[in-house]
Amino acid sequence: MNPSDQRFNDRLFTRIAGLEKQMKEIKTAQPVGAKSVAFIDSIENSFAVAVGANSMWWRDLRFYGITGLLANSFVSELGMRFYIDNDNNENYRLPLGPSLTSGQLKCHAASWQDHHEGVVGEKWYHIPLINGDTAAHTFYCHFILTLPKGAVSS
Amino acid sequence: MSKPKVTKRVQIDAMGISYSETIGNVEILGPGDFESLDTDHLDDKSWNDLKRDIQTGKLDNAKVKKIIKAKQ
Repeated sequence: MNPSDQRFNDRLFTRIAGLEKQMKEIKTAQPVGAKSVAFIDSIENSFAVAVGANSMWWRDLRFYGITGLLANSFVSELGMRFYIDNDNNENYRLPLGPSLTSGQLKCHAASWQDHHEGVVGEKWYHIPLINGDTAAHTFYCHFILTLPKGAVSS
Repeated sequence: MSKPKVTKRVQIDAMGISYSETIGNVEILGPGDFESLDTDHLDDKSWNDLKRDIQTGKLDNAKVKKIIKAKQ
């Protein structure tokens, strides 16, 4: 074999090995989708607010003092459940609680996917509360935030 | 492991009275002007009584303030 051909093969194998190493490093550092990222749930929190007949109101949730894995933002998911007039009672849970009356079924908690980042380490969620009934109703809300482990300071 | 601190708060705004219980760094805010009353000093029984009376509409703004202040 011509010695120059052998040197070409050697260089090729060296480059392939280097490429494999780089790919492994990229996969290890992958921030989203990697199983190495642990997530936690915050402790459950709650609030209650009375909304008058045929009225709309809203509440903001402001999570603060939080730093995440992705620069100044953080990845999170907000889990919420709502009850009408009966706190933590599954029979009155929106939207399909079996005991909800026709009037209570006109109550809606909408668009909690509406959220934005605030200042560094801060995230806001907006929750419209709509009462389309002719009587006042109390909205009960329980919520949990899921986010990367270690990202909450509390 | 220490018991996590629960923040108990009563909020008075144009809609009336609402309350919240939160643990950790979260704040619940309403629209427009509102008055936020810190009720952390209430014991569990007083807090549960206060919540029940708010839920059943027994209390107006003045009565809520009076109860919270009386326990301080």
